[in-house]
Amino acid sequence: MRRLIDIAPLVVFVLLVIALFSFLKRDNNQLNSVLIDKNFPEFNLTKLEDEEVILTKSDISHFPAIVNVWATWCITCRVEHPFLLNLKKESKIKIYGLNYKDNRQKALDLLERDGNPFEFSIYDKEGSLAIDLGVYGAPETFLINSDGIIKTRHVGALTPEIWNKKFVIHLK
Amino acid sequence: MKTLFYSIILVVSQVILSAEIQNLDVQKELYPFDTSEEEIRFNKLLDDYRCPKCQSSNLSGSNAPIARDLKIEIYRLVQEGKKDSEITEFLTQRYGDFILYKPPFQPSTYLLWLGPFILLFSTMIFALLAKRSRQKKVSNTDLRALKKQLLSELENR
Repeated sequence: MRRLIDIAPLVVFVLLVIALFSFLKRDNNQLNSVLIDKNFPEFNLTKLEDEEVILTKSDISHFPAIVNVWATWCITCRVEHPFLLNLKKESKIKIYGLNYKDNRQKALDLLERDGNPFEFSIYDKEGSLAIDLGVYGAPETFLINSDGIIKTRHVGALTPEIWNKKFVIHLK
Repeated sequence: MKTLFYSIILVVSQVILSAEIQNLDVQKELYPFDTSEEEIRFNKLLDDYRCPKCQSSNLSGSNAPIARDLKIEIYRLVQEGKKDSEITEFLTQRYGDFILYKPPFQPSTYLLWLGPFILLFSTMIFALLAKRSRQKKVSNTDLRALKKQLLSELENR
């Protein structure tokens, strides 16, 4: 009994160290979205390709779909761009763009130059839809299932590994 | 030498102070309020919400684009006369509890809130037990010593 009491502080200390070290390894850059399993938010914004056209939620009409938050000032989006172009080619999934706090002409020029993986892009100059989506850093990608429900969210560039791990499981 | 040192400190602190005042003026210009109550409330809210991008700083201490957008959003909500609880709800519905510097008391945070008290009480109980067992040991040796002393005194007589 006495022995047990003597080593108890050491045991507690070691357990604490192990617990704290395991927390260090956690990836804090991936915040869980609170919008998972919720409806995609309503919006009322112009189309990037044509400022006369007003887009709403009902324009995202082909499911399952992904909504990709991108901008010309976002360097990681450039890294991700070839993946999206490839996805458009190889998958039946529809990709919608959310052009985030950008310059319309610069964005159009970029799509012209590098290719356009999006059905269309929503032009969110003020970032209002982005706030409704809980966006905190481009690029971000949301997966919407056939019921119009958000199933997953990824912050940062998509890669084939991440696509298989986080997105494909929701597409069956 | 000393005077030079002090005058340098004086100049530097003045520069810092005037920069700070300028900062405050910019803030006032960016987010003008009709009443000082609203302004105080706005500044308090910015201190209490965490910037989702930088994560280790609050909204008022961050110049990340998303922090600026959220400041504008909170400014709009305060102007509309929304209560603090409504603004908190607006933010947590989009960014989750992460945005709060003070997490709510719920099953996932029980350990966070109660952990320090559990640790405190278990340490107290441990210390008490350890003290008691040591006391017992001490009193045993005391008795033995006393016995020895008495015996030797008897023998000497």
